[in-house]
Amino acid sequence: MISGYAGKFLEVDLSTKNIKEVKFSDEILMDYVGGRGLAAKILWDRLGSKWETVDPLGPENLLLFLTGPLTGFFPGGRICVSGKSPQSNGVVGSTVGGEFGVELKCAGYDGIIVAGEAEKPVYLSIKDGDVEIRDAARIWGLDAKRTVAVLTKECRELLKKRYPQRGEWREPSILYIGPAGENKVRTAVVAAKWSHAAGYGGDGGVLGSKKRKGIAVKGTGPLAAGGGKGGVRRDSRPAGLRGTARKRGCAT
Amino acid sequence: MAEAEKREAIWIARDLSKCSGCRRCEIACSLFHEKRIWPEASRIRVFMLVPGVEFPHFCAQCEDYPCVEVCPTKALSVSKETGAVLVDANTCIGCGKCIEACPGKVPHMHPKENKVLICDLCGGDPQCVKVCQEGLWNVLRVVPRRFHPYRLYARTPEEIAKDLAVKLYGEEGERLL
Repeated sequence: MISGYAGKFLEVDLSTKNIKEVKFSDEILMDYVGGRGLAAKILWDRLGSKWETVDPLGPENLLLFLTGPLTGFFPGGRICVSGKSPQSNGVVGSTVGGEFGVELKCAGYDGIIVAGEAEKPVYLSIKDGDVEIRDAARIWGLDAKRTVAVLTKECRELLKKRYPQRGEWREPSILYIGPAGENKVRTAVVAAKWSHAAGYGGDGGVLGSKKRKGIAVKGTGPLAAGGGKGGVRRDSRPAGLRGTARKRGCAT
Repeated sequence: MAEAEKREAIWIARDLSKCSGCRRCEIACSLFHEKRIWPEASRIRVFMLVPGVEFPHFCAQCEDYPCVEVCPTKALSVSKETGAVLVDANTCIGCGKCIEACPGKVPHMHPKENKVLICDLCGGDPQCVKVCQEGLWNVLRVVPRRFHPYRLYARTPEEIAKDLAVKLYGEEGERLL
């Protein structure tokens, strides 16, 4: 496996409540690296043949949360949110800052692929390998500040109950939508914390159409460093970036 | 320390409201102790219970060391040079008694190994302070350890977050937690 990647992606189908791990070959990761590039590749592979008939706010649209090989290595902390955009019907990649990308990497995933449509409001709770679809009726309709406060408290209490001897748990990182996303507004954002948002393309509406209020991630693992033997070296550029940039004509 | 010179006992002074939440202290700490970037295995952790209210949470080296007293296997000891709490990984059984005894609930378990993590002041040269000073945040500073009620600084994340939120957002801060 090439360095810089955790090695697996999480795929959640909300219609069938099916949760599985998918892997991409090294060639695909080398060519498309991650984030917007990989998002375009996944969308082309899965929706390309029926692109024109896919309703962005329907169950067959995909919503992708993807990191890259450099996510987590200071100061790279952004995560890409992508899918068929309800605003333009095109492929739009939008990024949002915050701890979400780092926590996702620490949990052992390079990205999340969300498909399908839930019957009632849910949110996704991830703690390392444990992925859970939890009921979000309590927080459906709340604004940004209340959503963050309630979700943070709920997730920390849950973690404390499950791992009582672990000490104080840090808050999980949360991506969520507000009332605009729930009502499928075509310009709604996917937000992190209070004021950080992935706004291009209106992916909040896609999340709202899948009846999903948010995702909370807590990862306790180390970052997948490129140094080998558990160390970080100065020349440990992720292999995904090494060949590709030169192949595309960049100087690096 | 290679040199035989006697180092003065130090303490890390903290100005929590200045913290921006950049988390370089976590990276520096885990790189020094675990040789890789591992935020959950860092001895200093940045909490963000309310967005925008980030603060580092780490050992305050109370003058009476309640965690060392309750340890059933004597795995915890106080370093004579620095005054920091040292954890013997071989004798620590991960019972969690020190976490209960700590007035600030500062110690936490290592995510993979069965041992507790407490700040050891990096043997007198704290890495977190270096990067904090480098970033010009000045949240952490090294000061000589004096006779002082350091126990007052050992507070739970909820208490600190509430105080800081009220300081930053006024009355609304109490409702944010």
